Amino acid sequence: MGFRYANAPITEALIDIRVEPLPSSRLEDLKAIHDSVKDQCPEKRERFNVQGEIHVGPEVSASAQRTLIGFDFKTSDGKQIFQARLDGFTFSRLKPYGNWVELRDQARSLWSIYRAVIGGQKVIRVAVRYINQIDIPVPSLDYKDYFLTTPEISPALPQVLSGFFMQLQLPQPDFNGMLILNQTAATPPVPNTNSVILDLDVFKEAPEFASDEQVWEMLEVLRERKNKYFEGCITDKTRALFGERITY
Amino acid sequence: MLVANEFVARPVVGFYCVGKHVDEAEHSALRAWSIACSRRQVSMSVFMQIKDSIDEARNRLGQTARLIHGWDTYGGDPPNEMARTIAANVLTLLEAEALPPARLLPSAEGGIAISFVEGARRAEIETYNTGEVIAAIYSADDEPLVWELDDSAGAITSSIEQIRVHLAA
Repeated sequence: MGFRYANAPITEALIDIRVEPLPSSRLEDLKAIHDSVKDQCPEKRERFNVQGEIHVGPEVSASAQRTLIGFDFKTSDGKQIFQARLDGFTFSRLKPYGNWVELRDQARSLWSIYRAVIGGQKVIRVAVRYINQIDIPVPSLDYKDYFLTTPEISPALPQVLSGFFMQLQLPQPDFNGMLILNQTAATPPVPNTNSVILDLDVFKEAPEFASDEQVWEMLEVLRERKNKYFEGCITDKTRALFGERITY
Repeated sequence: MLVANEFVARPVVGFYCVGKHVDEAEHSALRAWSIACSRRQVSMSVFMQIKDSIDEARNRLGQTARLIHGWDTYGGDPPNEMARTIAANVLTLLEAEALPPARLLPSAEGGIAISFVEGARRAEIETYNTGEVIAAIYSADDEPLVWELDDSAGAITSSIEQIRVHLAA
């Protein structure tokens, strides 16, 4: 059993499972996954890794190259995206978000298809990430009224901001994981509003899983941790923006 | 106690964000910097990629406000406030519908052209200085389909869906 807010600010929820990289010769196998998911994800796009270099010396030169690393399969409304890459699997749900059980079950179903294609490749990282855009309907605000984790500005400096970006990397020693918290001002969707992105990425690297069952058990741990920290980042004034809590 | 400036003249503890005094170009630069801080994280997030594309389009839209008559060297009118306001609304709805444009440019006809590309498939939404809004879908193999829509959120969202279906076909 869990709960969700009636007007949850989640703009993207994703489950990410990295594996030891496959050789590029397996790209055709990843491409063929589309045949299995075509009904739910009719859109297929290639996913590239782009690298650029600038050489500065007596002469300046630049080079760039892109490498195919996998495929994105999307639902027809573009709101659910399944990435099948040489280095792993990601399932994203964009707004409107349903609930964790739906996200997890859909991800697990797609993971089983991906797993069948890649074989027994070792899982090297698992993550649960929730990106929230919190739209606060006031033209100016005191962040401390809405957030419990904020940048601390010296009293000697001006206290008026037109933007900020804050990243915190917080080790999670009890399961040897990490939380990356990104908090930043964002372009508001409507006038007289301030928007803040609160991005919580909880992950565990170099895990030793004996089975995929343990992967999904760890994802539950990461999700509970994410929930705890989300609630720990906001005030009741922010909670009031999200409407009632609905149990499911 | 921290001191607020004249825009936020209330004495409280904390610090303020004044959202209405942000230059669009400055805002985009801030986003670019923040994204550079966490490139890998951005690349894994569909939402962040969409947000980045939409912010870039908003930045370009802001820049069109500086154009003057004859900006295209052919006596073209710059986009006026009406065309830019409707284009801004279109961008907001594109963000909500998770369909970022490939580019945003001033139109030679006087207005803003928002373009979409997916392989050989193309689509456009153009907002004109007259307040008219036109959408078009086309590809190398098909005759272009062009339709006029009003500037309501419902009509724009419906056209966005039509464009999405065309691009994904």
